[in-house]
Amino acid sequence: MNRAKMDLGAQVVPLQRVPPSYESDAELGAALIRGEAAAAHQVWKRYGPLVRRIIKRTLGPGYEVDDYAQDAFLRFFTMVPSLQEPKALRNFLIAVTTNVVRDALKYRWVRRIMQPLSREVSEKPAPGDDASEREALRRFYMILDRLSADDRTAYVLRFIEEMDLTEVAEALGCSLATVKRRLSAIHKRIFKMVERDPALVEYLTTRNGRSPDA
Amino acid sequence: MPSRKHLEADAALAELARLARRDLVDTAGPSEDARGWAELRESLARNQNRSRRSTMTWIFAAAAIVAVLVGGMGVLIGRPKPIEYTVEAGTIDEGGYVRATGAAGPTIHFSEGSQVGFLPSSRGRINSTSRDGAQLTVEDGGAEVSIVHRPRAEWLVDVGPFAIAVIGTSFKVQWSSAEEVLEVRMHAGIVGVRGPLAAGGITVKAGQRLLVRVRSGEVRLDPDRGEAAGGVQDDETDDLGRGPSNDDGVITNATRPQADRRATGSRPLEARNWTKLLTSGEFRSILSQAEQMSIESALTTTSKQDLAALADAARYLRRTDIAERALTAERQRFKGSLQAKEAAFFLGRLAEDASRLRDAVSWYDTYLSEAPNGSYASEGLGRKMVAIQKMGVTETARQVARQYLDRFPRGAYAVAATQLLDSR
Repeated sequence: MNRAKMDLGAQVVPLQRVPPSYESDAELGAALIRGEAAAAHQVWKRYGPLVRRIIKRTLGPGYEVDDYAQDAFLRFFTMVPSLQEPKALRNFLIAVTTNVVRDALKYRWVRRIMQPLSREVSEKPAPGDDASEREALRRFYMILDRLSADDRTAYVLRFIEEMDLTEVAEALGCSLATVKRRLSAIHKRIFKMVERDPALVEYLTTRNGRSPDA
Repeated sequence: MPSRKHLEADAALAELARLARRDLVDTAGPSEDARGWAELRESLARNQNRSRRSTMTWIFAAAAIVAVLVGGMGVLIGRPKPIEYTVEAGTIDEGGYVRATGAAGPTIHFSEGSQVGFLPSSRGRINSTSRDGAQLTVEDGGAEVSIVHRPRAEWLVDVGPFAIAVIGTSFKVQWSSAEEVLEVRMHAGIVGVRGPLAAGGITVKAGQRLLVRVRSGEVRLDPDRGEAAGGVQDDETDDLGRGPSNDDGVITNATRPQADRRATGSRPLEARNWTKLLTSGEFRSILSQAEQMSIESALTTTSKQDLAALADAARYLRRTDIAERALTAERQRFKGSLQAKEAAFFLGRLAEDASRLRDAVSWYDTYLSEAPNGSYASEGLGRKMVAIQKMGVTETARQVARQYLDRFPRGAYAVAATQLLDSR
């Protein structure tokens, strides 16, 4: 007698395929290298928000990120065969995303030279929006516009995305010592530019009750 | 122990970083996420089909692996070194400050051939160098800047509160911090200048002189009768690899840049990366490749990014016919994408340049309705106002001026809008 006959009368539930969970990056990376289709979707779901956030924070306000995110994932999946350490999946994807963003910044830079265009985000505050904060953010990114693509990416990854120094070094493909030295110089330079911007000085003074150049 | 100044800097920048973290977040909801994944899956499938069709893809895959090793996980191989420099008639201290050792201003010679000569009594420093260029500051005084054009060259000169972006060019820049006056005299090439009164950027070309008086709010861009009228660069290709241009800015085809010669020979479509060529300033090379495969084929088969690069290259080279076709193709093939929306704005620009003002207004309207908060919203609205004014429909132009001031009270067209409203 087989089991089906024993269970007569019980409700028959169609068997559903449960997608694998790939809990760790090592499992996910290994599955990706093996070419499992479900793994690709899992990477998209797990890291899509991170990739979009890095792109958005590096490019600044007013930019749509979807096309760049697509580009990052396309490049990433093309390069999966070169992923030697499956557990390094996240850092590998960040490095690829960083390259996409740096290319985008350079492309934008060329467009700016050839046909400089106003990039004012609408200055009219939305209901409940703090206009002074929006203006401060806009001016802050105008300062970041004055950095090279590499410096800007390094700064955003470390101080806005709050990655640790080793992650930033890996994403940018340079040594830890170089990243430390570079970030220190960028930090000083940005602060000097902030000090020279009266609107930012006023914003920070009001915010913190003190001047940044006190 | 960190100094007070250091702590203040940390606190100030931490506050600005906090703002960025709070406001710049991933806003994709489940439907956008699903749409994004579907689009990605389609692109991946297209790539797989290509790889079945062409063994060449393996070569590009190998190249891609090398690229990620060099670019992404570069620690394994190491990256190209930054350019180096030496200083003549001066020294550089640890902070990068350049100091003269005599009465003459110091000159910095860069290893790839560029040089920056500070004028006597000027102060400046080198902020950083990379494999593609350097970032310099002229704090007070001036400098003669001569940058060698190279693919991907990236130079930035900070002058007081202004930033000058350079690909390859020569110019003289002077800044008086006491008077708050900036002067840029272009000998050759083209630069973009951003700063007070020029937040949206001003392009300065060979033979032009830009004068910005910050205090009085004066910005003048005139032909430079003083130094560059004779033209430092006459019959040669300019620094962007283009042929010489006549007085109307029309680019002639007298000199064929090296990139074109490299571009001969057939390559599979998927190997094209016109965005990279565009970034390198190799506009003519993009057009040459497109013509080689036939413009029609380029318009119908290239990727979204390559098509946008083709449209940009054609615009920069003033090949309006091709630019219009490429922008139209972007709108038809990639409806709803960011590029398709921006294509409407650029079609407006082309129509406006050709004095087809009604068309221009229609395209600006299309762009503003499709991307009300897009990158070019301010400029689109400003240009719409100017175009309507030129058409002689003053009352409508005034309505647009009000809209503009309402949305962009400090925008690039705010002065023009105010003047229009005051001119009753």
